[in-house]
Amino acid sequence: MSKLRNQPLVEFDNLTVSYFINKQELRALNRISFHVFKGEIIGIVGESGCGKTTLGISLLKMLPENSRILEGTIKVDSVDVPSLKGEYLRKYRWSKVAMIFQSAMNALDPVKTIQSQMIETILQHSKASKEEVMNRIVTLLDIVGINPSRATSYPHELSGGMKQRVVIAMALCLQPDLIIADEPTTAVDVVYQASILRTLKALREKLGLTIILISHDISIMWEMTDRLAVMYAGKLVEIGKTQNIILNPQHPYTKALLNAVPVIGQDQKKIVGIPGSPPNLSSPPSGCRFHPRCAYAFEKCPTSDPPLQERKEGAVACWLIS
Amino acid sequence: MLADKLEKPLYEPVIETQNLTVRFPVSNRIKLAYGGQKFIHAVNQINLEVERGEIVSIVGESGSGKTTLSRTIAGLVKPTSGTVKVDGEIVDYRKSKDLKKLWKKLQMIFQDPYSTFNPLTSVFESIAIPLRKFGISTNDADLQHKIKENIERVGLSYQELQNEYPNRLSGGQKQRLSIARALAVEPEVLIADEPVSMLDVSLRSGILDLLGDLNAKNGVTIIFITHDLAVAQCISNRIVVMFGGEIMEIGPAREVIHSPLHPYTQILMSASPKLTGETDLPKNYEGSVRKVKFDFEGCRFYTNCPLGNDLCTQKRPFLEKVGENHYVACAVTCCQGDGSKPNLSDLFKVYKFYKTGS
Repeated sequence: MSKLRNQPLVEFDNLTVSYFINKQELRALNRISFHVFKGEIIGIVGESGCGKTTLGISLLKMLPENSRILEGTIKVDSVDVPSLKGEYLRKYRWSKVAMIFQSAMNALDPVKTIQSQMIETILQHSKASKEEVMNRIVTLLDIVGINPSRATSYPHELSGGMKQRVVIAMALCLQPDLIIADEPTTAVDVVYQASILRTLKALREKLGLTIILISHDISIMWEMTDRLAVMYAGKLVEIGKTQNIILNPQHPYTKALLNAVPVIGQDQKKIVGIPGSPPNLSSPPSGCRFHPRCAYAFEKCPTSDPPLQERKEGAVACWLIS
Repeated sequence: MLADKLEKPLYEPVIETQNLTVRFPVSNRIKLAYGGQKFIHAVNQINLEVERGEIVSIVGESGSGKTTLSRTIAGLVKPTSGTVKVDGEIVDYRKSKDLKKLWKKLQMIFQDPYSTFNPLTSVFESIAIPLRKFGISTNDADLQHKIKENIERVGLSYQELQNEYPNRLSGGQKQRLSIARALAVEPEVLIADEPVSMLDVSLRSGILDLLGDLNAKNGVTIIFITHDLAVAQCISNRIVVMFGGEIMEIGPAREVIHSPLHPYTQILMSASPKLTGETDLPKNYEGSVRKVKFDFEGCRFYTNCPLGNDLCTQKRPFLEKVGENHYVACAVTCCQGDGSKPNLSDLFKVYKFYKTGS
């Protein structure tokens, strides 16, 4: 595994994506550059509207029509994603990169059994015999921890956590290399959350998958991820090993996110929110975009935008660090 | 007005439920999924007292009955049996007069701030509706003054927001406004149903602080519903842990967090994300309220409990006192019946059991 991890599977290079709403430009991603290595789990955290989901769907070439890639490239296994078309795109989606969507609880068809939904997905993309398909479904359900005898159940007969796991199994139907999990546990209770995250993590061990985990909750990252990327207002502000970032955060925004999380059993720690609200991306603040909410801002911050600077462990975009 | 409220003696129950039960019928089509049971006891024989001026958290996973309990108290679900006393008077949920009186005293904040406002009603109007309905403001000047006061109390700007419509507001702003709207009628009790679970982590603490301030400054009693013990610990004086419609453990927040006695409380503790370190949920724990057998004689949690023994199948455990204001309903960890105190080393064994999952 360790050898594999040095090969990048996904390469974002200077990626800039804008949405155009009423002829107004809204820059959702601003010069994002980083690599995702084979076999790793990378977490992407940030508040609502920081561009995490845009980053995820850009990998599947599913950006909405009113958006445009202004600059930069996205490569998956050296294949340029934005240039994929027709049959190539169809084969790329789901068999190379699969996604677990935000509201997975509602992602299943209520009038079909989970088995028939999975068969449909598999047969749309491959020519397998019925027996092979059934075998694969049994294996997949087993992997995600659902008794294969439940394959003939309808979604309403499953609990929330089980539905989520079925959605994960469906994402695995065509043996993708990369899974993008977009807020897989938001608004799910803590018991389900723990079991879903455990399922995802087990997949990496069993199948050697690469996983991009998108969430606003930094508290689930320690257990799940190898590396962590922190985004703010469409920019990458800090990236590095998860343990380093959580134990020793460099960027003030990462520090603030960590202070906002309640931790069980520590009643001395007072949770502190981040004052203000995320900026409107159609008219972002000048200079460093975090400066209006930053406790450490000084003269330089409003005037010029800090670049992402490589450091010993990871990279940080903050004038305080340089 | 608020001063009057504070002069009433502290520590009197403002809400008292007696044997409160809510059953929902299970339709024939989905009966199988519930093991052929005809009814789900969403809330079963709950006796809960909420004292004036305290913050009580009700904690449990989805389907444990915490929302039904709060909605029943608020009069949005009709109880099957049992009574609710508010300020010592029994509320008759069939009478609209009683309901109006209840809602003057008790207001609710809902889980999803994105769907709680009418999209065609401006912020000003949304808060004006309860003020007019309960006859609090009779003239326009007073109305405007009250709305301004309420919007500013939750930390928002009246100037900027009064004419906005909900689609222009962020999630955090909406949740603050729904608190402002609930507070407009100056209620004594606020029921907050998962007010932060839909919000970004960075906005959560703002809402929690706001609720804490309201409690400290204005003496508003708060019933706070959440699935996350870590959030409950931040805000509450007392924690009530529910499963399958029944109270499993109830006690002062500190005690419940630092020495959880019920196996279910320990499971919730282990599932709560730790910033540094692994969650240690038992490997085979498949939290599911659907496994609960409602016509079962014994403990509700038995089918999910890794510690269950014969004793648990024979009779329903009762809430036994284990400390100051601390009660636990578990036959295994509390040596029920013989009145002896639980042994700390036994408890440690239980906790270790959960950590290793074997």
